Amino acid sequence: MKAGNAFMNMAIDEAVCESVASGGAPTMRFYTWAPSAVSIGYFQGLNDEVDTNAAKEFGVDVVRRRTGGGAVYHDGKGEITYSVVVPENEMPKGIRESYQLVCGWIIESLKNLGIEAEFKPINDIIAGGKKISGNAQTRRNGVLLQHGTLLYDLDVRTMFTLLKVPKEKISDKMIQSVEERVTKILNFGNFSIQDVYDAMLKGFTNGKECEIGSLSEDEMKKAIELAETRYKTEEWNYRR
Amino acid sequence: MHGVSTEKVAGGKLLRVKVDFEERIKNVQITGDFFAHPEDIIEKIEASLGNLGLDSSEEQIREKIENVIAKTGADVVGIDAAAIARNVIKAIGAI
Repeated sequence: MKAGNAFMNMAIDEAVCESVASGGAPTMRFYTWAPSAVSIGYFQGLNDEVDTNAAKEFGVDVVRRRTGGGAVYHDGKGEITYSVVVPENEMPKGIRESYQLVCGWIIESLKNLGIEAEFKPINDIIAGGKKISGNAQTRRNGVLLQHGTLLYDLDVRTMFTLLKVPKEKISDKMIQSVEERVTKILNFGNFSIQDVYDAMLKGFTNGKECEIGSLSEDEMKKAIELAETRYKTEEWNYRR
Repeated sequence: MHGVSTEKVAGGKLLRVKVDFEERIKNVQITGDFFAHPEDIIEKIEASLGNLGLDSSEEQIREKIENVIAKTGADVVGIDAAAIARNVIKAIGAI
């Protein structure tokens, strides 16, 4: 599990997609965000979703994902993000079914920690009736990319400072209401982030033939190029 | 003129439709936390709504969007043609 900045994290996911599209092995990746970041869904308006001044002030990167879904605050120490890149023809054809399959691996990961969770269509996982994981998927060039986060810890106040909710709404009442809807692994026990990673590794790879590796030189080169030419650019991030 | 309409689609995702218009629709932008792929389906839908008359009915707009989606075979999840059409009409009426 490696920490990367927002632009490289998204660029690596795309570089791996290209690699799998040209016949490379299906790949799972686990990563964190350094510095903390906000990612927005492909179809969201950046200015609708993110307080960019607050992001600058907090030293938080902002990036548009290639996948749909909502704006996410990725706390550097508050979550583990995964990505799964696999040829489309090895996955269920339906979007809901393929979400369910990959989300099943997260549910299994949580089970490894003794946490009961369930899939909540379209793209969420809930534990104890509250959201603990959000997921986003796209398909391009015959390759399916699904990435998502598993919440380990949650700083609701920072999240709402960065995401565009009118400041007056960041009242204790609202924070309580988010905490009523969202949960985190630390609510279920005193696990370390390493415990969570180990549980995810086991949950994602169980029953599959896997080997642990690192990015190829070509993938890294492509990722650096994509970070510079796409994910760091205003043209990409402010396209909507 | 510029109008915006936002809706949390029942059982789906948040949809925000922004419309620039004068005598006719000039530009439509569809944003939200929905999913669609190939992703350019949304740009194709937006383009198909440019230059529509302001007297277009919700039904006409919905059919137009449905045709674009059917033609490309794209998957759109969390919003649908009816929701987009409904919010185009609302955005125009919001002025």
